[in-house]
Amino acid sequence: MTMENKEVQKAQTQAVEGNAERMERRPVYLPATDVYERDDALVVVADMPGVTEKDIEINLDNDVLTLTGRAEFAEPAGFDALYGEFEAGQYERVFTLSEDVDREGIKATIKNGVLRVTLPKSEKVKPRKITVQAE
Amino acid sequence: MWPVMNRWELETDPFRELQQWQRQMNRLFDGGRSVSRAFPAVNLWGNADEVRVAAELPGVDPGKIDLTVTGNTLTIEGERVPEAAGEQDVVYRQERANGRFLRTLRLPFEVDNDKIEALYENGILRITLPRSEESKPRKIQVQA
Repeated sequence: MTMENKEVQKAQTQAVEGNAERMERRPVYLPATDVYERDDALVVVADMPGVTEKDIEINLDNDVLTLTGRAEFAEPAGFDALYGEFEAGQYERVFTLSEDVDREGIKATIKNGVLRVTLPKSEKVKPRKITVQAE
Repeated sequence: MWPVMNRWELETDPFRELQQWQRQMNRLFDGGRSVSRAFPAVNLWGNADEVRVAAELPGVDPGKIDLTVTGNTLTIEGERVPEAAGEQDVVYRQERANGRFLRTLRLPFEVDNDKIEALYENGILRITLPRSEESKPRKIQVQA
């Protein structure tokens, strides 16, 4: 396995956006994401504050992994907005994976607004120790 | 989607207007997706009796968040502990910030320190700060 096909590349955003326009007027955020590779799996960790497990969608189409999270955010009633830096919106991130992921074993959890996706490597690419036997 | 220049504001505070314009331009260029800002991002609401603050603090242990109020200043302080990536792991992308953070906000009035409530849920910290009795406006009877 060469370095190039191991690497996780950020897919072009066109994959999600294309030329199609969005119907709803919600901001789309690019979540800050960490990606690292363990011996047995690829791990993707993305910040999605305000997103719960029911508002998350993970899609793997061929080798394109799409993470989508809808952050709902209730504005308090009877208050004036004094200052604002964030609002309800949609988190979206697309990655192209190498083909060596075990699709059945993909796991995702969300805790404290952080999404964590574990993509196990398929058996054939896991590092294997081969013992050389003396004759 | 051109930034709208408000002439009246320009006259009152050109620097602020310039900053606002710059923000709008930034937003324009990255398609409204990301704007670099202080951590944590905050929202503030208020009425005559209370201020409410919401802060985006994903992945922060609530036990590691310190809130301090002095007069009408609120300080949110804490630490985000990095994910434990093993030494053998190959890191491809590391965009999530880690380490200590501190944010100071000026509130519109003094608050009652004993009645402050904070709730951390889904990575968002919500703080309720009731106005202190002393700072509430008082009606004074004019005697004839």
